[in-house]
Amino acid sequence: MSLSSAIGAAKSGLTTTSIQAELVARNIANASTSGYTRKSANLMTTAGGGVYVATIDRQVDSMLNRLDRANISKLAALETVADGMKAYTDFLGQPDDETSPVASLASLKEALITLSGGVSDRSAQLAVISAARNMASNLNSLSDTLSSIGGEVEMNIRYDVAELNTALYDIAALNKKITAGGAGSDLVSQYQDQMDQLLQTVAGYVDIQTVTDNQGIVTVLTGGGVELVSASSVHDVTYDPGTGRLRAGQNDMTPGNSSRSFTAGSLAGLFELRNGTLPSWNGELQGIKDALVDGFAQAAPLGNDAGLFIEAAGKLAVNPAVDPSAGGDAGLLQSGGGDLAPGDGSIVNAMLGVFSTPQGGSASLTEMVATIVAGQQQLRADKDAAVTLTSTTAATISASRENLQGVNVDDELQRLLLVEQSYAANAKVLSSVTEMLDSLLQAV
Amino acid sequence: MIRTISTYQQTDTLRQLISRQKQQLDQATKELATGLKQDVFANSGGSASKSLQLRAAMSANDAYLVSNGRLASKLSVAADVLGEVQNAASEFLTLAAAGDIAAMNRDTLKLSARDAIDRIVAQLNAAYDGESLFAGTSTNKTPLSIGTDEAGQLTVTYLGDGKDMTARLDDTTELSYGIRANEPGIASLLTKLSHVVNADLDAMDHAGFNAFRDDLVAALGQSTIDITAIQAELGNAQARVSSKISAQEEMTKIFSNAILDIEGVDAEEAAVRLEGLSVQLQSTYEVTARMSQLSFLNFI
Repeated sequence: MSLSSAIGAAKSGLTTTSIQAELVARNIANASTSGYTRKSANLMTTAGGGVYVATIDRQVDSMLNRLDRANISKLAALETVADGMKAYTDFLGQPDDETSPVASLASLKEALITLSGGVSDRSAQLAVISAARNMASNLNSLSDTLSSIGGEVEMNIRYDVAELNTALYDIAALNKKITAGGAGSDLVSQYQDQMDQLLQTVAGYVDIQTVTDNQGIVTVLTGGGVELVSASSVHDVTYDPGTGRLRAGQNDMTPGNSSRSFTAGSLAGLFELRNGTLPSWNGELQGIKDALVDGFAQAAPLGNDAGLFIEAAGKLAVNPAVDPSAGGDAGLLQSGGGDLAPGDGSIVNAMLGVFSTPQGGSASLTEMVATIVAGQQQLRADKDAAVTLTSTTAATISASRENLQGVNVDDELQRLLLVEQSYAANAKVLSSVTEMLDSLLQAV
Repeated sequence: MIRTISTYQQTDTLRQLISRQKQQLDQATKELATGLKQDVFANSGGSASKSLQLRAAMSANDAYLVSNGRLASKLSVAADVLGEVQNAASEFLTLAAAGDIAAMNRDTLKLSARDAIDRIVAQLNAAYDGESLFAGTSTNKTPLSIGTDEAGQLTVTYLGDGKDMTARLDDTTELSYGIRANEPGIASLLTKLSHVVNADLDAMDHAGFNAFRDDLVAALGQSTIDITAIQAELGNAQARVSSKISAQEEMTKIFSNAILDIEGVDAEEAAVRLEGLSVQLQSTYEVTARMSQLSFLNFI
């Protein structure tokens, strides 16, 4: 115990308060940075009675972090699928928009009913051809929409894979820096912030599990247990569009199609669209096209073996034999190519019968198309509801996490007052002790 | 340890709250304005498929209504024509049956017969909207033509076909309504009238002419009865079409109501929701503004 050790203690007080002031400043500066964790100095007493900053603590709750990441993955998958579905179902519209195949089918039937009132009426025949053309172009444009969404999905898988790899390499690089930095140092606490942000980025693409060792080095695995990053080495994620396989290194992790697939993240959503939703919806559209082509061909062959509709090169079209714009004769709608008298409505009647023919599990063609359209819209609405639900849960978890880890400016300002007082007190001690020493020197 | 609330999270929560309330407000506004649910597929518990089918059924029903309306006027034209035919027949019958034979000018009878044939054929050759009404399904042909054979005798030939016209009243009902100009009552009427024109009346003695006349009156009487039967049949068809039309008019209302039950929103409920949401949004704005002014900074 001496005056000089008092000077030492006061000096250490000044040093620590300046570090604390810096931390407060950094906290306030990052108050609006998402993912920033509040830093505080952990103070210890030195052997000589002074004070030093033992470690810079980050406020983290690893469980909340994990839950938050899981929600990010789940939400990303749901949103990806919901967005993909919506891009298509927007074209189906609401029932009163009358843009769906149900409405086109109803218009076609309407035109045929009008024609049945005067089967040789030229303008009524042309109205049927035009309604049939609308029906065909409606279905074709829906198929086109699905295939363009398919193209978009392929492109997004590639983008996501590229961005995922970038994030994985950043994680590996950070692991290297953390090893070099030394646990508990100020630098490492900043690296760990970056690490958490990177892990959140990765969780947006793939659902992950992480293992952190006591040094702070993070191993990243997918939800299905495929290793993505271990220490400083990365298992590159690759996508083969030909086989549709997604791999990390040599390990197959294709969502929904492998024993070690992952289930969430935007990539899982993209694969659900690619392998589930899009092919199944395309199949349903094809079912409608087939029903139209076959139904009309069987009920009312128009001169050749084909009915009102034909399918060529994957596109539905009006039979060119009856389509005047393709050089055909709309009169075939009445005569069917035979020598029926002009008042004979048997062909038109047979065509009207197609609409009430049972199709598979449906009581009629109209019911089948309505069921398909409503079914697709229902799936979209269900996904929308799931997105809303998950985003509410996700927001709650992320709010708790942010509240625990984030910065409250008022609180930091109060800390600053404390730091200020402590700095002033330490400075006062220093000046008083110096005065005491001075007066001692003068006395000598 | 003091638990704090992250300043960033605090504003973020308020932003999310405002954005969600604005979305709900937007939905309520749209629903109130259109009277329909914003997303029928999400908010009608799986009955959206029913609604699509009802809309399809309603549009078919409307088309049937129009085509049945046209059919009704076609049938009414046909009924008028038959009435005219009946008139011509009975006018001639009155003339033939009436008066003293001696006083009757046999030429007048002949001329009247010829006139009746012309009137009847002209009526039966009537077309509705470019389609012959009495030629069966050969709607492009004029059903009757008046000519003379090699012997110089007057002939009335039927040029139509033997098939009845049919019409679809709805998805399941077909109505066969063809009245052809060769139906027995009409054909025998025309044949008997031609006989009068072709017969050499002047060569007949009093008794012979009397017998001819009695035979004619009896045959024409039978034709009139037959034509009345055809008229009755046509009347039945007209009644069926008109009752179908009233049923379909009723169905339009039923379809609209059923669709509205699925797709519609309760206007009062939507208005109350809108009111509540705007009050809520206003309070949220107020709280947000007040919170942003509340800072420790103001006191140091």
